[in-house]
Amino acid sequence: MSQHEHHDPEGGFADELGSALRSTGESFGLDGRPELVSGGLARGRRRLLRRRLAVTGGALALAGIGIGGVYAGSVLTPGQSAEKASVAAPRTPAPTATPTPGSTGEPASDSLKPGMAEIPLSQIADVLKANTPAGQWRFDGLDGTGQALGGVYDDGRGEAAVGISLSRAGRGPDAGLDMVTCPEKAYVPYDRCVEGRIADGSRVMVIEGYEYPDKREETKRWRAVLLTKDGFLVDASEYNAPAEKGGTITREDPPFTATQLKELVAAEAWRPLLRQIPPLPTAPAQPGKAPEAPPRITGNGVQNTLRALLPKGLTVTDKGGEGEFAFVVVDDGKGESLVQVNVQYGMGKVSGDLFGSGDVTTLPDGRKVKLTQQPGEKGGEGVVWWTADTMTTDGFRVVVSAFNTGAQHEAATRAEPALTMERLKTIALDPKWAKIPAK
Amino acid sequence: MRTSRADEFLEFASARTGQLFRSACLLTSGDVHLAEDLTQETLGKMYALWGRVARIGNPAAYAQTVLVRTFLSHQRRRSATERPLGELPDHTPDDGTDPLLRIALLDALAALPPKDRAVVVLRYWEDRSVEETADALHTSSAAVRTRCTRALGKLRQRLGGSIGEFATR
Repeated sequence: MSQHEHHDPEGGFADELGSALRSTGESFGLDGRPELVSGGLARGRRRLLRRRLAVTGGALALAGIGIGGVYAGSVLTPGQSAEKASVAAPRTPAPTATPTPGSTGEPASDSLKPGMAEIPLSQIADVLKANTPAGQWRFDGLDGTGQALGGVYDDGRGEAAVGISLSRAGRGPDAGLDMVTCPEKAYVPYDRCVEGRIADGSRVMVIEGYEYPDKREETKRWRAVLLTKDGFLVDASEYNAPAEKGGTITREDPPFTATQLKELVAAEAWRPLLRQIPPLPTAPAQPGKAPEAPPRITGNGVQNTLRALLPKGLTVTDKGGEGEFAFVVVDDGKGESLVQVNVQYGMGKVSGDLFGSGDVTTLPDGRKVKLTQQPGEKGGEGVVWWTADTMTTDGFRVVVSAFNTGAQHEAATRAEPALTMERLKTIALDPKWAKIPAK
Repeated sequence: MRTSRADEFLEFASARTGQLFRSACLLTSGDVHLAEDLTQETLGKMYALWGRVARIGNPAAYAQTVLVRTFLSHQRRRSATERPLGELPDHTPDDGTDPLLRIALLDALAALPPKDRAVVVLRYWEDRSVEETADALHTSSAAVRTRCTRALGKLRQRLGGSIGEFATR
């Protein structure tokens, strides 16, 4: 059994402890936590970028990774085709740009080779300082080059982390649109968000939100993103603390108003710097996937199917999602209830993790079905989270969840979700999901 | 065709995140919010180091080491008096173990100092040797043995006879 049996004077108790730990450990499942992997990937990319941009210390190093979503390919390793974003449901259902073989979205005027931008950080700092209200600035290391910069700003009313990032949006006509669209309030709480166009045709979004969706720390994050007509993104974030995470807040609100943030990202002075960003790597001759990669669903198929499978008598008050993920917020007259679904191919490898414990049955066709009822764990008070998880023997997974609230981080609005467990199971097992086009 | 860093990382993460998350839940004595945070942080570090990681013999074990170190460094930044005890999920594992016993175990773990807890998780959940544990914690084998003895003593005191009721696997 355990290797330490011979060495450990506490032998018997140690073995029992091992069993107890295993039993307890196994009670913590990964169900409905697909964002652990995608979140880990996003954090990893931020780390890499921070390292490459050589900005150190407690200040925010990068504002550039999307709210819950991930930039596809623009700023990372040269020569890599734009990467798939997340393996399962993103926390915000934001679509990401993927390369379309044969199409190029980048402006024709660039003669730079694909790769990392080498804009002198001091230039970025200059534009940042010139387009914000007067104050003291602290940057760690302005000697290098890059396309993002972080610093700490103080107008005498408290230190605040500020970051700016410049990049290309990606390929295709819709590239970057998700970055200038207000996120779903069901997933990302915010106080205010506005989106629109400015005089030169660029799109802008300004959002007054929080660093943590469940607001477990009070750190506010206000952000403005500009998408130019020729596909560049200028992304600025500010906080009411000197560091994005773990810093005590120093003031009630971040220093710049929404208007000031907007004017910062819209400043003309960024344009010469943006032109120094190399084009994206061209798509490889073959589509950028390993031959064994599972199909992925794109488009509105899942969203449409979810709505089609809802029982009668429910009003849909909110909806969203794209690709393999979709959600609706429904109301049967007794309060709002969030319902979400993921439809995923190629999940066979994690079948053991997902269906290894709990209330699991196997149907005659080999499909596994697992029904779970548990407390919500994104901070909303009194929230319950019901799930019907299903997987075929090929690793095709459909998982449907319902909550007794319109948003997981908000308190319960009703006693139970608006769909019964039986209904969740029926929806998850419906043959329509497998018919949604995927490639 | 050369697979990208992200592809390799995702394959690794799909296989190992469950175990990492479970370890994190034990280390945080049931605080799932924090466990999620630590797991994501660990995955992020693995991704950033992937070039090096891919050449290591046992990336899964390395990820576990990174998790423990991340946990401890997080603990150092937090108040020493904080003892979070998070919610337990409602579903029971197949062996039918009493949820009250699991709560008692998490509670007992929470009462241990963080480094002792880390030693217990590495030695008895991850089945690491004394030497491997010492290496993960940047400490000596002797220190590990001392912490083990002390931690087991405390756990035995708190859990006493009831621990025998956990079903053996």
